[in-house]
Amino acid sequence: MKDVVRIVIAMLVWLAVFSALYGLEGVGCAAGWQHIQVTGATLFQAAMTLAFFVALLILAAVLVGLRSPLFRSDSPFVAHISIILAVAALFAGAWTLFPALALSHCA
Amino acid sequence: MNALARHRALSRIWSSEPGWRGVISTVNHSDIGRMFLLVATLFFLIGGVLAMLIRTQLATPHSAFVAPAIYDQIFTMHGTIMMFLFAIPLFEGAAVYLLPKLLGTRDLAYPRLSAFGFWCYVFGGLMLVFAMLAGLAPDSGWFMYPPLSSSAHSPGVNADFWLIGVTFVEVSAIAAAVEICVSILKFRAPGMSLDLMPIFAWYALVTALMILMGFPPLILGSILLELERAFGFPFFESALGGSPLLWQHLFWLFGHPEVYIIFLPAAGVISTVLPVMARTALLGYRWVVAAAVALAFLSFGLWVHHMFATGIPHMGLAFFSAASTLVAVPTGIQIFAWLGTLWKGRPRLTLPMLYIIGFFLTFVIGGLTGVMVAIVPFDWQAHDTAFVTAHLHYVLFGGFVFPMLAGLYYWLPQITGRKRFFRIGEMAFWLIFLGFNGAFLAMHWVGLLGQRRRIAWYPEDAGWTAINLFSSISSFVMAIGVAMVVFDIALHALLAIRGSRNPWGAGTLEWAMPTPPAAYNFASIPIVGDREPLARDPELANKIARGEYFLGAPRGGLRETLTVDAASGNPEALVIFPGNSTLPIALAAATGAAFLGALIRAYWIVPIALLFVVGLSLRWGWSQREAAYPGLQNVGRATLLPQAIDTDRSPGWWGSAFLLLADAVLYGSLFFGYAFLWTVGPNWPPPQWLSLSVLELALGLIGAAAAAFGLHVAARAASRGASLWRGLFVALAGSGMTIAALAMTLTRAGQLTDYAYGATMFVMIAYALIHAAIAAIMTSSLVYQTLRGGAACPRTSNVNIVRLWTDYAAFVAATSLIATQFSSYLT
Repeated sequence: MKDVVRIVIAMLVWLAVFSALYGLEGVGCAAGWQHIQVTGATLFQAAMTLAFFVALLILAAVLVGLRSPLFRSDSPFVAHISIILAVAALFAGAWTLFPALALSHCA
Repeated sequence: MNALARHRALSRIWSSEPGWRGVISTVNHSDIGRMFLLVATLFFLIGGVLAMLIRTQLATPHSAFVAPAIYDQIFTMHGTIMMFLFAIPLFEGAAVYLLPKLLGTRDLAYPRLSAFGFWCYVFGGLMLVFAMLAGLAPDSGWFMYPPLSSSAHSPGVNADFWLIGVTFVEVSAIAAAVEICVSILKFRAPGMSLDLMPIFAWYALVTALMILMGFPPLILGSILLELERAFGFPFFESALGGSPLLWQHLFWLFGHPEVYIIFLPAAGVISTVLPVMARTALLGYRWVVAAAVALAFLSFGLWVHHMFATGIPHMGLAFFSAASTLVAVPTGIQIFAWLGTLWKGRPRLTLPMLYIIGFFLTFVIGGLTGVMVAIVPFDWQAHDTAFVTAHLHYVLFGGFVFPMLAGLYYWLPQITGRKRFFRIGEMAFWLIFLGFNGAFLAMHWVGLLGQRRRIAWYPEDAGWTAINLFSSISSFVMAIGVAMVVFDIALHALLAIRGSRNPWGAGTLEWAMPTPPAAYNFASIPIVGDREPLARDPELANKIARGEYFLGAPRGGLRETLTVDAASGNPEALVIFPGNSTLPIALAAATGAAFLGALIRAYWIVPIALLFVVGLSLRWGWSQREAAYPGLQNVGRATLLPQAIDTDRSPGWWGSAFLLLADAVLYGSLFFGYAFLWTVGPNWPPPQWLSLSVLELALGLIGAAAAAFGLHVAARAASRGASLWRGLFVALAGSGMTIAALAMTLTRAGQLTDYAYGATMFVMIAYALIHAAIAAIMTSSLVYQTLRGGAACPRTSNVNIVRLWTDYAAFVAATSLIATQFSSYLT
């Protein structure tokens, strides 16, 4: 069962961070963070930017973890697939969450 | 024992009863699979007839063929039948029939659950068909958006038939998904490690996991909408703190993954059939598996792309637009793997191959228009037009029906044992292919010209007449093709001559048995060391028949098979399956009665039916333990294994774990709904909050902790063979405290019909209360087993199963109490 977890974990984490950022956007807009200034940017902008980099960091950590001897599967097949999916999750995170850095707030 | 004597002995053990009684009592996967496939095909034909009625209506402007009210029922039922009663059940049927044969085992993990799921499907489907014949069919479109589907705008029982009938059918899908997951992970031929699994099994596993994660949001949405319609709980009513957008979120959290739930099994068929037709192995097996997993997860990040026109902030739109374009990557990897397989092989143009070519041409077009509607500005233009309908059909017909027809003609000799003789299928293919493209390519065009979807008529001067007429004529050509396929299959099944065992020269295990297959599949359970074991050892079928592998000596009249370690495929335990039983159909009927009681608003029926459900479920679980051997068992080839029921994690534990996964997704969706109304819903906050009660909170939290701790103590005692009494007493007392605390909170929820907040509190606490009651009933069952003592003493596996459920119930009770009791402090 651990091997099945190794296979699904990276994309599951992507789904979690993707949903979290979408949720954060909803919370931020509802709470009016776009109107609160924090050192030259809005609180909304700061929170979304920070969340974007934290999300990528988490996905990178999953990739590193799956490559490390501690978590790497003994099965070459599972190890290979889990790393492919971890790389895919990292790219998916960068691609799908990039709007957090670039787009207008709550409009 | 020679092969013939072994065959006769195993057939006596595994066969269904003769005649009609066999139909209602069979639990054999081949029977259930064939029944699923047959009924799904019947629903496909019904849905197809409805499609023809739609096209007849739209063939000319100002058509008076049917009145708009009937037309609404027709297109709603067409979508509902094709999505819920045809596509998913056809996958279930194919998986139920094929998986044990592909995996080298004798049946699925829970034979009675297969039968239960099938009967739930039949009863739920009949509810919807009855509604249609009575003129009471749902008429709000297959995605049932409120407020159109709310009682104010759909006052009859039409929408209730959808909400309750579809939910009942989804019980079947969840049952099948649990069964498929456990079967693939635990019921394989010894030696079949994860990397040696047939590619179809990977696709089926991914699809089943998607069903477990994708269906619960819709089940929750249906429950909430039915509560609103029946009792006035205003979850989707803006004026009272609800939001119709909540339904759209819950629906599309299911609805978008649903598209991939339908596509992925078909891709599994392509990945299985195409290499055989190309006389080579699948190119990039690992990449294809990774692509299927990636596609499954990405599909859960796309649900908002159906809501681009609802006024969501740009950043949210961009997240989902980016995710929508990204799914093209894993899809493309699979397409290129298939093209590469064709390139390296020596393809032959057989009938399955024709359908695969049809799939390529149509599905790629559907995929490309999918990328178009993933782009927000284009989607705003095309939203709710016939263009989207055309895109949907290219993806679903091209991506599901064509591959399934390829699979049908590929596995037909396996199912019937006959050789294809009549050549009607080729002509049928061309009619279907040309008819389909004529009908739906034209629909893209008329959609871009502005024709809305779901309109009953259009004006003469719109410029759409010729295109619609062409589309309708083409759709009738396609229908003739489908009818010819049915005719071809009927002729084949009734008149064709006997064929050889492996006519395609395939390498997978379903061809290593006599055809049509015997009820037991494999006379002995083979050892697998290759992804295509039959290609590696052409003598394998004879060795299996001679009983050279595991469980080759039938004994005690019991249905035996093996479980394996999920990763390595090493044999782990002996499983004894239950025999034929009418319990599944009885349980499905009792479950159906509960749904029917709710549907016709005769609520007194519901608790009575649920009592029957509980009683039959306990009998189900109880009868599971009867046929147990003591100690380690010789399973052949000098191997001794324990019985699965004596292991810590029996198949029942695995099934519970996967069922609880679906349950947890439903609970998570409920929390999502709560958070959504809180942050986005209009007219929030509510006028009055639920006040904090320290007594309820303390009683509930201590009770939940005690229940979980008690079962933990009991499980440890069971593994040591010590007395369970202390642990069971603590657990039962804990469950009682939790139930009392939740019941007290429930009575204070108030404002059920006045405001969405109170209704949400009520549902959350009721959900926790139901789970606490389930845990208490299961613990009581352990107490009863302990009281009986002796051979009936609870086995470790049973205690561990109850522990799993109790842990979950404790978690749910604690989080629900915290979320409700502290809600007034979160403002």
